[in-house]
Amino acid sequence: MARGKQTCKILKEIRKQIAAENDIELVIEECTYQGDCLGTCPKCEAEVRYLEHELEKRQRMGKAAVVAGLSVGLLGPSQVALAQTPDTIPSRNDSIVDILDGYVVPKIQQSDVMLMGKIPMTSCYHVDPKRYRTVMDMFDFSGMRNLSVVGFDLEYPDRIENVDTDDYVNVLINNSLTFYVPQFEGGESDLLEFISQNLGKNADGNAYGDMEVAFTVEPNGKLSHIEIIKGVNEQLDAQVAALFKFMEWRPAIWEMKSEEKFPFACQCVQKLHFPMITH
Amino acid sequence: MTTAKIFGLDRHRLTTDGEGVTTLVAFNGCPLRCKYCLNKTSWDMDKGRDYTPEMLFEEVKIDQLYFLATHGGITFGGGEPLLQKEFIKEFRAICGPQWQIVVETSLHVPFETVQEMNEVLDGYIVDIKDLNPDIYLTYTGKENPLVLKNLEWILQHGDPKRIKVRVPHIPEYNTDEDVAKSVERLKAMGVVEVDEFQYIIR
Repeated sequence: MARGKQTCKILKEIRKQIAAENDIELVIEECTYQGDCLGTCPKCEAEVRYLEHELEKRQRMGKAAVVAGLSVGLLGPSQVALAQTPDTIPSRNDSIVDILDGYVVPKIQQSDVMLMGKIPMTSCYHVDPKRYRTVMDMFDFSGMRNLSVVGFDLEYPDRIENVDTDDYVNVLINNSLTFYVPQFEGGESDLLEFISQNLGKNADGNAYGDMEVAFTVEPNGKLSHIEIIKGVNEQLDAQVAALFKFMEWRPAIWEMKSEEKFPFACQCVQKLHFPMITH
Repeated sequence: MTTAKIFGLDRHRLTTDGEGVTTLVAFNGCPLRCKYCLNKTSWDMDKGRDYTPEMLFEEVKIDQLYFLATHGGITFGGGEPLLQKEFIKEFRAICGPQWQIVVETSLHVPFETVQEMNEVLDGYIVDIKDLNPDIYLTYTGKENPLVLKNLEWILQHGDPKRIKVRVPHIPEYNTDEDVAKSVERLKAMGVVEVDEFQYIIR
């Protein structure tokens, strides 16, 4: 089911791109179907037929239909992620991270979004892979006063400038009630099923070993900064990175004592074990 | 009219058999008898459904927009798809040049077939088994000089980046050292896309 729903999302994204590129109005309603999904359904198919019809209309009117290669970037292996060497990625042992139920959550990352709920969410977390530096704006919860811009080097996590970390953490603790970790829709078993199904045919085998994928779950559930920290082989790494690019997760959420909920960007590391199965 | 037996169609495969969104078309018929073949259905020529290239096109064209938008298309597997060269050529004539056509093949087919089909295909996924002739023979029941000759030819007459060669660790048939030797030899032949992997035995 998980595979189907994720496939559905990816195909939907392609349809959206085709519609946008060709100025076709396409209203996609959120799918509420809870049963088994094969990745497509009569409604999805009807949207494809509608797009084809609209594109034909445009062509008859002498307009160009822009489709070829439009979504190549969506599905290609994530070369960017693979191009980064593992030693540029923060390790699980970095002192700035907490390990929470298998996820690595940078402790200092629960930042402005949670505290203010008004800051553009995408600005709350940013990794510059070239400099291994995390930069974020931090705000004082009570007065909504901009305390400082904080930077810290992941190689030298002690060098945190312009912020009183203890105060900051206290603000988090005193004002928050519950922290929900990011999660693949359907949980880890569905995640693993989705990956193994989409890794495809494997008619006669598969690579084996442990893999670790680092990524950020954005507040809207999309994944970014996908990097293979620990790879198995180039092809499998590329396939897995490509799949993560299209997943949607339930984002990390801080629920405040006031019962307000604030989704925020959160970095995770997902471990994947590809077993060698023999008889 | 060319027909072929097809025992499986699988739509919306994402980056599994090459680039983009693909539909896998699995043919019956294979010259090899690999011990761990997972699609043994393909050995039985009585199973599957008869298709003409036109019938297949009618069935798979519903995903044309996805194919075009993602540089995807059809991956012919099986079984050994290159045994169906006339079918694939006719299919190409129908679907046009924009769909990507990739074959998952053992290359254990006549040299002339490979020469004939090269310009019809956009890419190959080659299951090379093991380059050691004894291992190949024991595992598949066939000899492999033909496979190597075919591989060498397509490497010389096509883009090596479009030729992915899969080198399996085959339990009880080859060792890590055998696999390493195969990989080394393949690289010397000019293979740039090597995919070393482990057979899963169920």
